Amino acid sequence: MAQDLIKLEVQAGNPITAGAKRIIPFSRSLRISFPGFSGGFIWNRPDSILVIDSDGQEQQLAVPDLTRIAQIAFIAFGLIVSFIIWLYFRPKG
Amino acid sequence: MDENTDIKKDMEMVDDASASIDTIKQTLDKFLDTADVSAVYGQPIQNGDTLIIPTAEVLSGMGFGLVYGGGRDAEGDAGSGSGGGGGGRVLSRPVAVIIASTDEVRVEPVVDITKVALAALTASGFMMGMLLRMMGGPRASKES
Repeated sequence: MAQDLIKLEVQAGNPITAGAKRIIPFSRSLRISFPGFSGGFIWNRPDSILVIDSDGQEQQLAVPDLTRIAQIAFIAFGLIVSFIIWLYFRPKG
Repeated sequence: MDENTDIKKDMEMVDDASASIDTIKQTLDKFLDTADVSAVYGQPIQNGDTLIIPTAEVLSGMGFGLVYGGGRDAEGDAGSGSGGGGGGRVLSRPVAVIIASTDEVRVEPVVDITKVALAALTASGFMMGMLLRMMGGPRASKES
């Protein structure tokens, strides 16, 4: 059986009952495995939740990773400002 | 007599290999469990009318290898053996908490201030490093 090198999938978990509401959790996982190599790498993170009210109304709520967003924002800001500094001060001519 | 001994040794080798493969299968199953939804959503905690569900990001990596084989020495005696090894790491980090009360369901993010501060310091390191390098460059060339 051929195994995928990279596999990205969204999975739904078992519904959780909270009072009159039902919560269905979703996770997003990335699996990387190399052919001829036993083992691999898995990155699994919460994606969103689906809240179903007693009257059947559905609401999807994202699960944001603020730490990751802030880290990426700071590093991107640092790289962009460094590039601007280089553009401004680079030797011309 | 010799043939029987060889067959016994071969069987022992197969048993050894089977035991190793079983261990690897069990480890691999545990590794693959980290890709399941239950790995990132914790057990719900009931606190009065409020239900709290912790969530986390899980990163895991694993690799292993197994070899087995047999042979005969100079006197013609058969021997066999197997060996293997592996290693792995699982990292987990809280991401958010889902709070379900009677009125509403909300998601409260968990911010790791230390990681954010380290990213900010790294970014300021980029900027300061570039600024010092670029400002120092022309001055150094004028002096020379």
